[in-house]
Order: sequence, then C-alpha cells, then structure tokens
Amino acid sequence: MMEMNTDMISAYIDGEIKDEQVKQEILTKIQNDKDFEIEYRVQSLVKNLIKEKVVYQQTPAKVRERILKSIGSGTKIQSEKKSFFTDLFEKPSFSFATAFAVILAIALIIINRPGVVEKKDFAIEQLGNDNMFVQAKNNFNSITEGKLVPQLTTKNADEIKNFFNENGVKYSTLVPNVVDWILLGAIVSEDQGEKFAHHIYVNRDGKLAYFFQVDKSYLYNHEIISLSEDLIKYLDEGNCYLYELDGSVTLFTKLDNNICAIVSNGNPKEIENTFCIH
Amino acid sequence: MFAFLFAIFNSDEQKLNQEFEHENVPHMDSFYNFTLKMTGKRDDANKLVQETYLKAFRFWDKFEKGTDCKSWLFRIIKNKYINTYRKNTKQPDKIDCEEIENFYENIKPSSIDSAHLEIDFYDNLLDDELSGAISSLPEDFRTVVILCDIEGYTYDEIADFVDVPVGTVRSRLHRARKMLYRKLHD
Repeated sequence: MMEMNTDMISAYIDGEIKDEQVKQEILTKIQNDKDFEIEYRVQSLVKNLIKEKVVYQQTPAKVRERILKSIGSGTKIQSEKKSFFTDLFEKPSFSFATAFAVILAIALIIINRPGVVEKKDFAIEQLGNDNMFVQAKNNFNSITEGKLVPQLTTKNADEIKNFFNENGVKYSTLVPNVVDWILLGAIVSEDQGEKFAHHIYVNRDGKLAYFFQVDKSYLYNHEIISLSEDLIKYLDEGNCYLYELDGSVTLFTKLDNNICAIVSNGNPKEIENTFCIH
Repeated sequence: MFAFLFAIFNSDEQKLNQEFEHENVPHMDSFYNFTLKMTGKRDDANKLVQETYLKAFRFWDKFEKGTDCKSWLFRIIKNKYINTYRKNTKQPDKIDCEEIENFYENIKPSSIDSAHLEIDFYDNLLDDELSGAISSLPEDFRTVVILCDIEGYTYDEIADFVDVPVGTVRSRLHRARKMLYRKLHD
C-alpha cells in the first residue's frame, strides 16, 4: 500500500477519487487505522454541518433587478410589483374617464378621512415572530431570564453608539442619557444579514429597561421586521403608546427616524415619563 | 440607410445582451453567496456582485466563447474583492503559515472526544455561529471551504478559480475543515 496523506480523506469524502483501487486503499486505511478513522469522521462531520446548517442566501431582488436593468434585460423580477395605477391604466377595458372617476373617489375619501389615528389597543394587531412588538417582549424576557446578555457592558452612551456602528448597524442610533437610569450595556442582533441595535438601562432599584430601536424604513418594507401600520402612524403623529401586561410595560415612541420599543419591569408611569421623550 | 444600419447594430447588441444574460445570470446566487461569506457583510456582497456583473457586461465582447464563463466571472469577482474589499480592511488578511501549521498540528486525532464527532451533538448550532467560524478562517482556507462545501464546486474548478494546483486545494480544504472543527469547540 502506498504512503498516504490524510488529506486524501477529504478527496475521498468529496467524491474526487475516481480510481477504484485508490478508493479501496483509502477505505481500508480508514477501517484499520484509528487516526485515519478519526480524520475521516472530523472531515465528514464538518462537511455535513456546513451542508445542513449554513443557509444558502439568494441574491436580493433589488440587486438582481439593478443588474438586469443595467444589462438591458427584459426579464421580469418576481418581486417587482406594479403599482395599482400603472395596472389600472394598462387595462384596455378602462377608459380614461373611468380611471379619472376612481382617482376622484379616492381623493374624496382621503380628504374626508379623520386626520389622526385614534388611540386603540394596538397590541392585538402585533402578530408574528418578525413583529417588533413581539420581538421586544421576547428579548426582554430573555434578558430577565439571563438567556440574553449584553455583548458590551458600559455606562457610556458614546461607547454604545460606536459599538453599534462598528458592529454593522447601518442606521443612525440614539442612546439617550436618562435621569435615574444608568446604561448597562448593548447588544447587536442579526436577522437575515441586517444588524439591529439594542441597549439596556438599570435604575437604582435594579429594574431594567430594554431599548430596541429600528429605523422606520425597515418597518415599511416588512422584509425582516414589521409593526402594524396603525401603530407606526400613531407614533408618527408624535404619540407614545404604552401597554402593560404580566408585570412588564412596553412603550413605543419615535425618536428622530427610529421607532423605539422600551420594555421594562419598572413602574409604568415612571417609564412613560422617562422615555416618552421627543 | 442609417435606419437600416442602426437596426442591424441594434439587433447585434440585443443578441449580445441576451447571450450575456443567458450565460451569466444563472450564476448570480452562487457569486452572491460566495461574496457574502467572504466579506461577512451584505452591503459589500451587494456591491461586489453588482460591480462584477457590470464589469463583465462591459467586457462581454472580450470573453472567449467556448471557455468557462463561471471561471471568467469568478476571476473578475476575485480581483474586485482583492482590489476593493481587501484594500478597505485595515490589515490585509495574511496567512501565517507557521501558525496554521501549529493550529493543524494541535488537532491530534487522538485528542478528539468521540462524542464531538456525532452530528446530533451540534443540534443547537446556528447558521450564524458556523458562518462566523467560516468567516474567521484565513482567506485562502475560507475560499476553498466556501467554494467546495457551500457552492459545491469540484477540486478542478476550484483550482482553476483560485489558480493553484488541485493538490493545494485538497490540502487547504483538509486543514480548513480541521480548523473549523477546532473553532466550534473553542
């Protein structure tokens, strides 16, 4: 039997050995030599783990679209959606007069609708694992249970902002210094390659306030994270939304361009007075 | 006359564009994945893939018909990666061969716990953790792992892409997997 390098095992696993005799020699070596057997198992294991666990990412539709446009392709992108009006005017059965009547009707509805979104129980609209409200509550529970710990521990707001920047958070973040609450640390999470900013405060009674902020644009395209449109509109109008359940309080507010969720086990009134800032 | 010439020119150009699309667009996901795993950043991957395709499109008339188009695109993307991405990182990803050798030697088969060789042991391992471990490999090793174990290219194709002998691909891959195994247990 020839002298064999252990890297032949990789070639064997990858189906790169075509010669039946060499294949048999490698197999015999794996069966009879403990070191070779272990090498074989390590190589197979890692290859299988990569195959099973690594998620194959598709080119984002916008990138594909830009490329196809640049090369003058006639191929339609699946995610490309025609607007209602484009579609309407493209239908030959629709006369200009019909379209005009539809536009006028829509304009009248818009003009006559109430200008503000009334406060209601927005919480019941928040469903699904990609919902910011649901995520904020779950994350807070994980923090209090010790399952989610800060990746950076600091009292310094600038350090937290730098941490967000350096760890790939693409939107502008705010880390306000608030009276009676001390910064504890920060976490950067990742979902589908996008990074999100979270930070935590603690007060002198040991109560926690977890702060999760997302640029509003992320909530509009619904690709990774969502929030009901009613609630976004309500926050856009300068309101804060407070929801209490099971000993914790969730406050939604808008700071600059970010929608912020603050979940705390502190006093609801204090949370509202402290974090409902504009 | 001009209209006639313009029509001929236009139809030639259209044919060239269609050819480009037919030959190159099917590989887009593969290159996107490759750049995403190489850079670890979605924005960089978007940019690299986009720039590669635009460059390839510009030079499509220079592409030698009948040769491997995937390999041609890969060379463009590799050069783009080296010129733009690596230039932007603070320190080039240099490989300390001695360090790799030590790393490699440290994983003696006899020191491996056999429980760690069962795939069930890794039930809780997430894509992020594994992708992070792949991203932390030295560039040459990361490249072969991505191309072989994620993209499914053969050793010959990888050797052609990265311009090294097949034996080097095999050896890098072997070592890279051992390093990954080690990283998953650190």
